[in-house]
Amino acid sequence: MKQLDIKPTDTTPSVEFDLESSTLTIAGESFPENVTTFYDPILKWIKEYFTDGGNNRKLVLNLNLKYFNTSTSKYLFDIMSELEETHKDRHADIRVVWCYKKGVEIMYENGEEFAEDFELPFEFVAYE
Amino acid sequence: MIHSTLHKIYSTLKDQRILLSFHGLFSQQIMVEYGRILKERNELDENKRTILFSIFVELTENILRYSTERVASQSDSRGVGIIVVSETDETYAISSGNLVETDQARKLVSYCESLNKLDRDALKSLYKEKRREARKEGAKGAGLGLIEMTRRSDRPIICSQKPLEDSGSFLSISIEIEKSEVS
Repeated sequence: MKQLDIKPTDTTPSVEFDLESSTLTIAGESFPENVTTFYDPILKWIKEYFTDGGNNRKLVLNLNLKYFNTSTSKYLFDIMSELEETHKDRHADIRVVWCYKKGVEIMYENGEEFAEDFELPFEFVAYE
Repeated sequence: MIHSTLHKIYSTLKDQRILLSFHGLFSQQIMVEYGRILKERNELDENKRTILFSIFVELTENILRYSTERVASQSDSRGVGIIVVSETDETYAISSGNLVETDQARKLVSYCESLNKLDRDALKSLYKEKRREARKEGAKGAGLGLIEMTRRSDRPIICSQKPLEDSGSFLSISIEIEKSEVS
């Protein structure tokens, strides 16, 4: 399987996959100049992770974003749609961990609004 | 030459409490650097700072993507426009201006009027509905920016257009947010 290890820039988050804990972490800020170029490969990677890996694959999507723009929001929606489908069709063990800084209500609400839209286990983690 | 009026420009900017303004060809890098200035407004709590920054990014991206005034030699994600961030004792206002086709300008003005009539719950539903829709072929953005800004704005958003003689219309959008939480 292809490695996924993208370093952060001023406008794009870091993206890392830890095989041992089956955790895909997206962290930082996200307002890419070209959102498609940045997120399409990640979406593709997720699809392949499940098609290549058989039915026993698990995934924790760990989102730790300080800020993201509306174009990114649309892509996060697409990623979660893909995960929801896989969760339903393959009964794959998938959950989303939404990290936000305590007191930054807008980032908590953003997570809550994703949780409302998907039948996926969501866990909220507030950090200081 | 501008030299003789420089003090006047300086005084105007100061009197109007303009914290930041940029006019010209926008690039991603300019957005990043100017955005950094806003992120350093320490008198705001982090929640408000994130909102201020997000409105700045959405408005600037509109100029980058949709301004009809472009420089041919530059990559297509650069447009010409103006962004001004100003303050009063209670609020920050972010204003953006750029050229667009007159038809488009009219549509946007009435779209903003319709958004202003919606309450918070209706705006949230509309945002979610648009986010669920498939991406339009060739679209540069998600079409969510104005809805998001209306949701985060503490006042109705102001959108107006001024037809110009030979180059479409000048579209202006202003968003205001309170410095502290309104209870």
